[in-house]
Amino acid sequence: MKKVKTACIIDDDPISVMIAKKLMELSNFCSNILVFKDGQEAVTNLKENHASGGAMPEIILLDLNMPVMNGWEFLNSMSPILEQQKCSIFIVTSSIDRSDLERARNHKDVVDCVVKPLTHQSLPGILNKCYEQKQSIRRG
Amino acid sequence: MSKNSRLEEVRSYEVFDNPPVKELDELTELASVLFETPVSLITILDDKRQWFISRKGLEQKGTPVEDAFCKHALNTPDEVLVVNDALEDSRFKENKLVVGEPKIRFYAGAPLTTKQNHVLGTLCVIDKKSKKITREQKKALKILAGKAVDILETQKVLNNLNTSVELSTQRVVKITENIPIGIFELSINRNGKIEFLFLSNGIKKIHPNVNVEEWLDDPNLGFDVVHPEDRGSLKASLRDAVIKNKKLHHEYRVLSESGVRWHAVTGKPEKAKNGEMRIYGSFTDVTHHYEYESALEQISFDISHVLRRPVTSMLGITTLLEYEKELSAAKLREYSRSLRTVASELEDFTQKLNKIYSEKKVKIGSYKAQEN
Repeated sequence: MKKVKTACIIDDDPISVMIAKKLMELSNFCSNILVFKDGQEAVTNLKENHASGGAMPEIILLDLNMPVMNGWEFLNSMSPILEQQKCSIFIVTSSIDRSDLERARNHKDVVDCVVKPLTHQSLPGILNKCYEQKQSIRRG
Repeated sequence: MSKNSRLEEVRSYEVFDNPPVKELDELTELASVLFETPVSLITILDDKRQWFISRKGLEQKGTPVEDAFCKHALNTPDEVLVVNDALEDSRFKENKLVVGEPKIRFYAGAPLTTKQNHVLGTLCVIDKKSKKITREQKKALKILAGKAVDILETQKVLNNLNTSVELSTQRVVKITENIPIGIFELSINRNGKIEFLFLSNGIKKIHPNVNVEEWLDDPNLGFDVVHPEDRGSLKASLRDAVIKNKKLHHEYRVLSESGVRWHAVTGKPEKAKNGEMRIYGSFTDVTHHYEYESALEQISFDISHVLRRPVTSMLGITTLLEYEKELSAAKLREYSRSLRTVASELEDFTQKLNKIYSEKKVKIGSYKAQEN
């Protein structure tokens, strides 16, 4: 599996983070993993990193329901930066609420929406979509 | 042909103590012209009195039944009773009305005979002078008496109809005032002026702290209790119903002393003959529907977010257990710890949910109690 350099997990649930991290390690998904426990912490760190000229993670796995700042608010706050950066955002949620999923898939900055739990099958899917998106950006 | 059944029928006409009836007065007028008598009467007899329900040339409204000439006509439904000179008739020469005022000498009376062959009274002509009449005149008097019965019967039918309409109206009012629904008929004229033609007392049950009587004078006052954010849309949907002639259904918030409540107005517009619009419909309190709805939304949110979360974690951990190539004892302990964390999380959630739903149930129960 072709791996990415840095992936970022934004999720307040430690077990869910642990599962995602383990799966990523086991399937050789990426070289570095960044973890933030809510939208606010992610925005602060990613913006700081961006301001100092650092590269954005290639993939962000974003949970929707989080305290302090939820997934939607994170997307709004990061929108200006996300537009100019090659960063694929995947919503990873335990919600099976149809309106949540539809809203996530239709969001302009979101590549796709994955329902938890992540499995060793869902990670390659995420990588493929990420490359497809990069290519379409390059072609576009 | 018993006396009682005659009395019953007399009473069924309800003619006593009524204002003059023009059609009957025209008959007595005509009779007095035809027979050239100063007095003509339509009399109805009950067990005590004779009542003059139409009278030409006499001030008196009736006499005791003993003095009545007409009493003698009661048992002869087909015959005209003629007294040419009362002083020469043994039945009447001692009669108060002959001896005293109005000093009757001549009397001719045709019975008012009903379909049941009862005599209600007579149409009679009276003079102070003795007189003779021809057979044709007798026939004419009978025809006039027949007309009088027709008029009385028409009146009776109309009376009964009015009474039954009144009873139905009373029944509708009684039924509607006890259900907690405001049933209404609203008129909207060409200038957009609205008016309640009917508003059932049930409206007081859903607006207990409002002086609803004022709404009858000015329906616009009703908008005052509507939540300010919902007034515009309520007016718009009323306008829509009237202009596009479509069914009205609108739900809006109402400010009451017990807090915000949800009401619904439902109705059907109709064009009245005078070109005005009418809406027939009702106001109801639908707050508990909203409570149910929000409870359902809460349940669906909880299933999809709160309950799914630990479930997905457990599924994730089992995936890892399957996927991990070398499961050391230390790793197994780590996963087992995670599983316990998730399980106790789930335990907490179910306890909390139980508490929340019990409270919801109590709340909905209290709304229902209020509505009853």
